[in-house]
Amino acid sequence: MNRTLKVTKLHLNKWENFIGTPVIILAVVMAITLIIQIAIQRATGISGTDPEYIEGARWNQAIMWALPGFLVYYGVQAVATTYPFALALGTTRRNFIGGTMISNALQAIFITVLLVALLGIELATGHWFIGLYVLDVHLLGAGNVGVLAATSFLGVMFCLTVGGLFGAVWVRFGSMGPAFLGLGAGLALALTLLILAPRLGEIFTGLTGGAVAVAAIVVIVVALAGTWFAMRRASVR
Amino acid sequence: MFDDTRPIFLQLADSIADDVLRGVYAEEEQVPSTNELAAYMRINPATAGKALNLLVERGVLYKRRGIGMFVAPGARSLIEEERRQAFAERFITPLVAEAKSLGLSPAEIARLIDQRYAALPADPQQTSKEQQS
Amino acid sequence: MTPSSAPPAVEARALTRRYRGATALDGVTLTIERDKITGLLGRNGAGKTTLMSLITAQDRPTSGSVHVHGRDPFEQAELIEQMCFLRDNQRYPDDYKLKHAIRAARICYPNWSQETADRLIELFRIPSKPVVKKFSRGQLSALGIVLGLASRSEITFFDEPYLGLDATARHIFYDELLSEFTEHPRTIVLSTHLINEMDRLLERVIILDQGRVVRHADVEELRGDAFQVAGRAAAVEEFARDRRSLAHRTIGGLGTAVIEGSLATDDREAAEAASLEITPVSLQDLVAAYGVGAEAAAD
Repeated sequence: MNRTLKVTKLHLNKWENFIGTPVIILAVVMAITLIIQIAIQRATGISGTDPEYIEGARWNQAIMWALPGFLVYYGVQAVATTYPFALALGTTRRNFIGGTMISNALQAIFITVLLVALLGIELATGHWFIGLYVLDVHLLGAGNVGVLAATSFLGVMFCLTVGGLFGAVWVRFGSMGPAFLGLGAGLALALTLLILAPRLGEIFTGLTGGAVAVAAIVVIVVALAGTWFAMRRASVR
Repeated sequence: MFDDTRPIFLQLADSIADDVLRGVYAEEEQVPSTNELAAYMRINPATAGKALNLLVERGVLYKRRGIGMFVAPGARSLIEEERRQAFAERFITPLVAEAKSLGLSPAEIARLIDQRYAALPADPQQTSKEQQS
Repeated sequence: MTPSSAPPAVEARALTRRYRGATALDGVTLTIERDKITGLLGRNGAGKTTLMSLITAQDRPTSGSVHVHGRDPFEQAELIEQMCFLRDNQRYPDDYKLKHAIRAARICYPNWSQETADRLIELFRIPSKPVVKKFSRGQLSALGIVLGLASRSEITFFDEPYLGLDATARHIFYDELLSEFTEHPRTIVLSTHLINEMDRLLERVIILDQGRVVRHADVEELRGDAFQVAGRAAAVEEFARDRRSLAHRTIGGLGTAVIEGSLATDDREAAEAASLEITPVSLQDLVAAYGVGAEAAAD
């Protein structure tokens, strides 16, 4: 266990990245949302408490798209650069994957706590005093802490693990690896949609949060397995 | 300090023997340890150790357990004797070969030797030896 | 003092590593002994880095085996954490500065000595402000040396550690290497091209050429284990014909040949009879001669 934690500590070595970057990204999202929503309020003359406005604002998806980019990058980095370095410092592949998963979980917990805290502040201050809807959005459960926490945690794990898979594929197969993986995954997705096309409407209406969560977990596990297989044969030359 | 032609431990052993001969280390005086020699010469300790062990085998040094290596009594005369025996092989053979290729006769070689010997500065140790014999 | 019955630090048997289109190591069988400084010599591409990679389980053999302290190191944490192998072109994670690299090493190496690291950082003058990515070649080498020496790993590999270092820094390295080695004996493997400068630091030497072991002996054994003859090309060729010649050069009517084996009396006589000059061969020249390889010897 000790040795696995060594890898976790290694990932947390540049804690400025670990803690600082998500905070900065969230701050930027908030700033942008602030500017846009104020502009909307001013332009349309609608006040922040108008139900019509609230409905629209709750579709704000900024947060959804801001973090994943960084997280996938972070996930790729964790494997692509830290893995060869960790091997040089004497770790086994098993311990690396275990340690990385723990570090990913810590990152997920940290971001979740951050988001929950921000939601708390948002609700407590009446949406930042001016009707700013950043966290209280439909995508994140419209104020439901449980949904927010689950979505955030799984979402972060998803991005980091998939990023890690791409990183491992890059180490194993070189620069063409991730391209092929992306292509392959895209094709598989397209094929699945094609096959399910006639039933798509049904599927979407029947889609519960639980089903999405299960799907996310399945992808995470598959990505982990893929990472392990890629690493076993990977030679760091 | 060391050349490529012979193993370093032999060259180091010779160098220490030279020092004993020249009086840098007196008899019963301690010589540097393996690690000190290695650090000073920037060589592998095993090589330094080999050199010292060779000198112990030849009777030039002896080991005092836990303390170190010391110059054995009679080491100087021992080395001198070894050098005398090697002298012919080391110096005379190449000298004679070179002289021959230059067309110098043994008599001419002897004359050159006398000249050079006379030109040497008086060596107090040598003079006292001559006085003794 | 480890008992002589303890398994050697490294044992390779018919170790082979093939990549698509190239064979990096071809049936290498060798032993690296504990608590000695072993040099890994040979041309670029001879297989030195591949060998070190396989020993530290960063790479897997195509066939054959490699054992560390008697066991296969692959995925064996207790063995792997006792080895330190930083490449000459080691990449560090993005935005790492000196302190991050040191902290990372402190986390991972069980025998890490922070005071050695601090002392060496000052001796080598490694800067703390710039990111490692922006380090000069010399600073990168110095960092590798600091990590390697301060790790106090049971088996420490140095892969051409002197690149970019000026002469002063190199001498600091040799002094620190020897002092660390005498105070905390461990197995050290050093790959180098600066053989003239570094051969005296070595106890054993492995010469690789084109993925195969060419010589594997004590350094002292290899010094004086070859000689060079020079003179008229025809005479040189005649002399080399019945002997094991490693490298053969002819320019106009003059030639030289490096002959393996120590100089015997009849060799000397034959050379003198043919008016050939005999010169000693340094370890550096010997390795270079082996590196000329089969094609040249066949000429």
